[in-house]
Amino acid sequence: MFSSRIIAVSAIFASLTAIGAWISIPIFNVPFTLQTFFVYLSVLLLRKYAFISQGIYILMGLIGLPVFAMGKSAYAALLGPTGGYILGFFLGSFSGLLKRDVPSVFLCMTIIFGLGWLWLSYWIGFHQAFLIGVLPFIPWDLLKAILALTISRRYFKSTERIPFS
Amino acid sequence: MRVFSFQYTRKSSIIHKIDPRAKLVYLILFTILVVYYSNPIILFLIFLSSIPMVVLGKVIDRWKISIRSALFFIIFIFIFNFIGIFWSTGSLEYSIILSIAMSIRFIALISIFSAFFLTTSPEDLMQSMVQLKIPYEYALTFNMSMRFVPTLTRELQIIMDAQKSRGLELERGNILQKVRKYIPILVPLIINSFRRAEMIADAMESRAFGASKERTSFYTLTMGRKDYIFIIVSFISFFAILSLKLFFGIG
Repeated sequence: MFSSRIIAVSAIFASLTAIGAWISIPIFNVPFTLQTFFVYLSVLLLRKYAFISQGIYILMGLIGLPVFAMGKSAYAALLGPTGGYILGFFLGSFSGLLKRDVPSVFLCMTIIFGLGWLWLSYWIGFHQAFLIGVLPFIPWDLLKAILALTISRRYFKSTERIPFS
Repeated sequence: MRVFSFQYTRKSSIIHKIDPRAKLVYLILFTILVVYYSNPIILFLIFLSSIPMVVLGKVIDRWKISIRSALFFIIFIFIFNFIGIFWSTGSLEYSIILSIAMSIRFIALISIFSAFFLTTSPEDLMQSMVQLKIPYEYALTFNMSMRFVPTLTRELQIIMDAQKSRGLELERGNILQKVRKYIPILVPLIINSFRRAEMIADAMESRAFGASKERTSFYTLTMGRKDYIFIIVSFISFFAILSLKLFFGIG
């Protein structure tokens, strides 16, 4: 049994991750979304409850809501070549179990990209998958991880934060 | 940037009335088949077998959208598989057949998953989750976040308009500048979301959420005759397709 605060905040984060898919910053014609930013932020703020928000995010996609990047249908996004990343959100969010901030974010990032890479290579081969699906996204994701760390630090300093229990 | 409309349409049909737990059996059995077989003809048969469910479930429009949005991926999968397999084996015929099989496998998976999830209402899914002994809190969180997505989307739109009216230009600048321009959008969004979460938690507690240990529900799902028939039919077709390989050596 968790407190009502944890339920409310995980629900908010599940929908923030969905919305993050729609905020895309076009750089060199590749749409970079903010999804992983919200995954990192949920890991940092929700800690051991982060997996609830990410699991629910995937479930929302499965029942047919357009919560994945580029408004793709759930089945194409989740079962298709890019599905590993989305499953990675869920498995990666378990890294909130680690106590320290920086290691948990980087573990989460490794799990997301590792799973995404493996999954993509099932469909298109190992080397191509790395060149298309991992390499271009690493610098951008490091930026997002730093952004998430900054925001979470600021949040924990603020007086208005929600007391989790 | 554009914000998508977000609506779930409710429908009712024979397939919708089947217990989600029975449909889950179908989903698991057929997913196993799709992953197991690599013969394009059998994979295509499995794909065809999901169409009656979609037609009876009256979700053909949304099913078509799922399939159409997968087309890009199918071309992608086909080309990369073809290059990869041709590179390693050098056999043209073999690589074409295997790439086609991979593409059909993908479309069959999508079709099976849509047949399950498009014909199951969120409420029934939640109720069956609770009855499968998954804690009620998860179901509640799920329902809540479904409600939050449109609300937060609207909020995001308001924040973006507000910041633009203050002179924020999202499209200008180099990469780092572009990324930094998203901070004045994200910070209010996150703070507002947390305030909303706090309000909701207070509202829940003021209505005595979590006060009693035992929860009862007004509406419960029961497995009826049609559900058992559905499970039996799924099993029969599962073994029928499986026997193709076991007894006839096809696949």
